[in-house]
Amino acid sequence: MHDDDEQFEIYLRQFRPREPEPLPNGKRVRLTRRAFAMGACAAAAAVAITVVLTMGRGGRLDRSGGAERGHIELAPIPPPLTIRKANALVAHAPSLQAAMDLMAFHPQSAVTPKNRQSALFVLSKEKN
Amino acid sequence: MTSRVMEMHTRQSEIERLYRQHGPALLLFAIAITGERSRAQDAVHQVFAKLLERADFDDVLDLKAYLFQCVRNAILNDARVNARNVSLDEEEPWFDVLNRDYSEELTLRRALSALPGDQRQVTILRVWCGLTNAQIAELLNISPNTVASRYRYALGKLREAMGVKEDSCADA
Repeated sequence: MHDDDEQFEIYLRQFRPREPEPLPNGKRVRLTRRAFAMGACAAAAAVAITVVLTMGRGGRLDRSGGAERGHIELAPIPPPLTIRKANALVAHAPSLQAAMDLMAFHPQSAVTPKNRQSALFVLSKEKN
Repeated sequence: MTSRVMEMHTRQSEIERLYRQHGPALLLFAIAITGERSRAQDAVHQVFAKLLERADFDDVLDLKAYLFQCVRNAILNDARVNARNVSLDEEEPWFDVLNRDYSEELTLRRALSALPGDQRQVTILRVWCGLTNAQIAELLNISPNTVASRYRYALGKLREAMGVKEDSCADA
């Protein structure tokens, strides 16, 4: 290459190409978002595992606890008849017979379903 | 997973460094093909966006030439571009004009635009992108001798177009 060409090249290189626009943030964000998504997935998985484990343990507790509660609710144990309660019944009952009935039969608040009649009600009607 | 994130950040930094280092030359080369700064800028961004998405250039031997190849492919894949017809955008300088008058930059830009596309690309790759004749030959898929002859012709035309300015700046 001639010296003139080299000189001309040097002259041309004095012109500096313009800087490009910076890389759009979207590119950076895309990478950050990907890392964030990976972190979020890991966190979600951890939360899901925790929830499943907690529910499993809680379910077992609920079942045992529910059984205890069911036992109490479904089979209520009537309070024991003490001498004190017997004396109170005799004192407040209109007659001795009534007091003996109260001591023998505990009061029940059973409600008869609709369209049904209790056997006691039917028998009392037939008697009449 | 932490190491993966660290690796991604390292890659991102590396790609940003490449963009800072070669971005101006890549953009000028893209402008030489498209004639439009905005389209050229899009092509360069597109290449770096793909690099950021899946940076896989560990096996690339000549990373600089690879970047120019990627930009060229991105532009040529765009059917709108006709490499032989570059319309000059008078409003958009190709070069910095900090210590120069705009007329000189415009003269150079007009001279480059007037060159045939293949000569313009060779000239820009050789003078402002710093590629060797062998790299240019590989990039443009032509022989090194063809690169040399195109460059010689282009230089003569540029010298002719900027003759008066050349004498004044050669002493600098």
